[in-house]
Amino acid sequence: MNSRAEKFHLQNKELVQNLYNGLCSLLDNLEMNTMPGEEEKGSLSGLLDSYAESLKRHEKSNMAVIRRVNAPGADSFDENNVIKELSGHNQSIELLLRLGREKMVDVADKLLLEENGKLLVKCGYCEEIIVEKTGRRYYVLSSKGEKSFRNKTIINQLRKDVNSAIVPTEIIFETSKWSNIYSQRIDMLSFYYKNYRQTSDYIAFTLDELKEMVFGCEIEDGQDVRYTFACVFENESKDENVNQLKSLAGSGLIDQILLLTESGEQQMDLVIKDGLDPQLIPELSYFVMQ
Amino acid sequence: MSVITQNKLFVEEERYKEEVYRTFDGMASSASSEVRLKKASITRGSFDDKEAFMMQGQLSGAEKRRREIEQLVGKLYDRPYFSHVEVSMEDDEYDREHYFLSDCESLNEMVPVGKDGYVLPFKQDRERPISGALFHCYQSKKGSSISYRGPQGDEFVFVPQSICDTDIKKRKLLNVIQLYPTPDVSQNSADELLESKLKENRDNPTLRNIISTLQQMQFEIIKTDTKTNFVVQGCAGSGKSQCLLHRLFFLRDELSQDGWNGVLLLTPTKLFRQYSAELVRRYQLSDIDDCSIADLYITLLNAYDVRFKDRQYKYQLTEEYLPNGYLFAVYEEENVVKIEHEIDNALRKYVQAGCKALGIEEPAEITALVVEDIVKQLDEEMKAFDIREEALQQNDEYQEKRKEYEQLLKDVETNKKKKQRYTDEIESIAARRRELDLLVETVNEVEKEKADWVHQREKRVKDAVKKLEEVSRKFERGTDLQAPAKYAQQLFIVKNLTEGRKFLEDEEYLVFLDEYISQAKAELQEFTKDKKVKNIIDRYAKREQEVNGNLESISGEIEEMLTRIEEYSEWLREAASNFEGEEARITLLRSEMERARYFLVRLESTVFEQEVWNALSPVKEQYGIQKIQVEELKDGKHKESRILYKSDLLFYIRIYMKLHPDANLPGYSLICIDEGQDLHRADYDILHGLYPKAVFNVFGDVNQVLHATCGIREWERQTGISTVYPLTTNYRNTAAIVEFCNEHFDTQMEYVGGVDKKQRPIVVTDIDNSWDRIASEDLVVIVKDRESYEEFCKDAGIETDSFVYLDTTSVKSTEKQKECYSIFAAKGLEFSNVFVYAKHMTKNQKVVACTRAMGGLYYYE
Repeated sequence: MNSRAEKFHLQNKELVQNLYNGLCSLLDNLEMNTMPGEEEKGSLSGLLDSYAESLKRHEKSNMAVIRRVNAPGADSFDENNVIKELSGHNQSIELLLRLGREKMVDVADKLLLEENGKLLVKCGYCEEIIVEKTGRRYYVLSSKGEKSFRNKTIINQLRKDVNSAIVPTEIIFETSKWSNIYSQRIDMLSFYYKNYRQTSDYIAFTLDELKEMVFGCEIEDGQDVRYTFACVFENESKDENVNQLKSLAGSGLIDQILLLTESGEQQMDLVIKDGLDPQLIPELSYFVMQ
Repeated sequence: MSVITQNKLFVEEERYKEEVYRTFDGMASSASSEVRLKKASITRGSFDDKEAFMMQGQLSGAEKRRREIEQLVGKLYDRPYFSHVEVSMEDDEYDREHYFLSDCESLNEMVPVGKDGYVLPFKQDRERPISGALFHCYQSKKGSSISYRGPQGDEFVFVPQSICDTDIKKRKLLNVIQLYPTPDVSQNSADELLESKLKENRDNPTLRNIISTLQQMQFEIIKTDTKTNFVVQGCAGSGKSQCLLHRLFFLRDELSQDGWNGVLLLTPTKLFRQYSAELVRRYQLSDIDDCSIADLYITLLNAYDVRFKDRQYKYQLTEEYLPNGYLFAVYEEENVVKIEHEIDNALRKYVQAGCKALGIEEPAEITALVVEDIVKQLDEEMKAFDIREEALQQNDEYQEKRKEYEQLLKDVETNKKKKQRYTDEIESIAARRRELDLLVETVNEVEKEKADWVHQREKRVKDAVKKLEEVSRKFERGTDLQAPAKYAQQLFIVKNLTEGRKFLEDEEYLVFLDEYISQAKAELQEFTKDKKVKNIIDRYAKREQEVNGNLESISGEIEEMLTRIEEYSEWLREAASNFEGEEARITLLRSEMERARYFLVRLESTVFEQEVWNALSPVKEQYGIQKIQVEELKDGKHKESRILYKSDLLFYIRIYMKLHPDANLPGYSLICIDEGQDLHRADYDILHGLYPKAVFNVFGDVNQVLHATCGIREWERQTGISTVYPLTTNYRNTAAIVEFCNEHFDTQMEYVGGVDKKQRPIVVTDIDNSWDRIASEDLVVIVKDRESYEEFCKDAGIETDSFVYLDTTSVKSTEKQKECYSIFAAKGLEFSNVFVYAKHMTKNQKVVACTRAMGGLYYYE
């Protein structure tokens, strides 16, 4: 059994058991040449309908959150070609770095619409995606873009043009490996920085090995350690995520964690039910995205 | 001594008032009876011829007394007294006396009323020392005993029992307020009485007798002794001018002892003197010298020198039309000191020339007497010279030597000029060389500065990138929770340096450095005209060597000539001495003596017209101040006259003060100045210098300085007078006008009474359409100056001859006509209704303009 089936069975344990029991009973009766009565048939039919419904629901909930729109053709990665394509195009290099730092950049971003942005798209360094839930469209690094980042020869060459082309490999996280929760959190962070901070200068990074606890950190002058976290949770991992947040906030190493929520109710739930209370943990603060 | 109710007070005062009037009636009746009696006696003829003459004399005496009494009663009838003070003698509480204080300015005597009352003029009176004590008593409004010395030196003490202010009009008692003892609440308040009196005064805008409305601080000022210097810093409408005149009136007896010669009253304009003339006349102060500071300067210059009036000058004494910048520059302390130095140096220079021509030592001190003595010596020396030269005409050898001597003098002068030219050239070469060095140095310095800066900038970027690499590695290790933030912060620094705000600033600075270098190079190129610097320096060195050679040569020649001149002069002196029979001090050149004498006999005007005039000319030219007036004469020729402004007179006087310290000038011991803030520190210095022992009473308001950049801002520092009395309440204007000024111009004037909505000033917004309605009222217009007046006429849609325009040079006509005043001319005056056209006025000028209105105020800006 694959993990998705296992997950489904765990979530519908009682229903599956009842259906199993019903089928076993039907088989026993058939072996004894006893035809199942109307009541028995009706009960089993009801169980089957419920099973089919649950399957549909499960399928829907585990559908990919993002959809690729125009994936570049063959992933033709060639070190020399990349250097040739990007050398001297400082603005394009800057944009590529930004895509690496922020992961998702709005397709309507005016820099991407300019010549430098078009070069990246044309040469296949980025691809367009849609976040299904919000309908927002972004550019993300393509496989070629990611490979370019990981290639030391390329990066060293690009640094001759752009001094800030120093990107920790820790930041790079292939789009193909993004989980739904990761995508949703990045989407929310991107929306927050673009619409509420009016800045595109930030980095999105993770602080756990599963790469799900994604934070934003603004590229700004100052000494404080201030991170932003998008409060999107999955039921099964919520408690763990909440504990991770509490642990980080209480570490004494972080000055502020700004929690982005979709509503005031969500904020109240997190404060009251989950204990993410700024009065108790002063490093925490909230921002409700209307 | 007790507090009584208003009704009782009124009844009692009515009784006293009637007693006063009955006294007047009795005096008039008795005088008339006496006349009738004398006439009857004459008519009866019951006396012989010898007695007839005496009877006629007695009749005319009786008639004279009747006229005097009628006059006295006439002037007291309208308002016999404004205050009633009841006192008891210290040793007998029941021995009471009643003093009815009169503010009648022409009352000079005490009028007995009943057996223990007196109508008394309210001023200091030598013959009646009790008047001063009563003044003090009225002012203090307390029951403390007061002592004074009688005419024989005996000491008297009285205790005030009650002090009441009264309001009597033509035998009718309108109001009475008990000031001491403290009044019962049921009485009318003193403030209400004051308010009603002020309101009454506003109906007729003129300087008036305000004794009955005087307040505590005003009393203090009026009675301050004549030995104390003080300044009254009073806001607009606080009664400064009245205080000044009342003070002179109050002290009249004391001040007039020397026939008023010791008092000088400085007032701002002719219009103000016209305006205050009536009160001055009524107070019998007309004998006081009353003029503007500029008029005083002219008077003093004429007193210093009878020739002054014949000098060809034109006067522009008002400073109304002089630009702020000019006044600031000319009265600035630094400039005044500079001109003083010019004067001192010039005096010394001309005296030196005289002494040199005479061969005598310079005097330690330069005065007119010293100068006169030098001129006298020069006259004598020239006379001796002429006699000697005439007698030696026949001596051929003398004549030959003199000729050669004079030729040598000419030659040595020529060579000296040559030497000077060489010296100048050496200096010029050195200066050019310094300039070139500086230009080369500047280019090198700015290029080095740029190189250093670029290096530092690159290092900053390199260091920042290096640090970014370090924090990036920490980030990659994933063990430091702060690493992402540190990376983000360092990335900001790198981006800021390489593409952000700091980068743009650095780029701008780089452009600036490049421009600076270009400019320095362009200046160098302009100097070198594309020639090599080294070649230029070599050329300078070569020329310098040549000129130094010439200089050495000519210096030798001069030296040699001077020796020969000395030999010749020795010979000539000896010849002259032989002729005169004694060893005389001989001057060999007449022209030197003539020239020195020419300047010394007119030293004051020479110093002014040469040094002072030339020193002040640049600033006059800078501000477009006319210096010369040219008149066309009938024969087609022109006559040019220098135009002297008040500041010129000030420096002219300085020259005279230095040369004539003992001049016979009008002597003033008390100098009273109205609108004292519009004088300058230099004026006060002159007055203190001329009259070091005089007492100064200055009345003004630093917030009403009309010129924006000059005048007095700090009384003590700029006038040297440390006692400053503040007057902060505006009594002249209605509360509505005062509040308007406080709101609109940030003044902090206090006022009496409450704001009557009907009296609120009207701010006019549409002058074009509303002027006809406004103009129907009896009002004067106040504008900044003539240009503003023309603008006002244009805005209001009226002709410029609709008003008579009055400025500080004007004299008010007696004809009834519509008047428009410049703000300088309106200063110190008051009007019933005023339209202020405030365009172009400063804040101070707006306050002055608005506070001229006693009743209605229209304001347009």
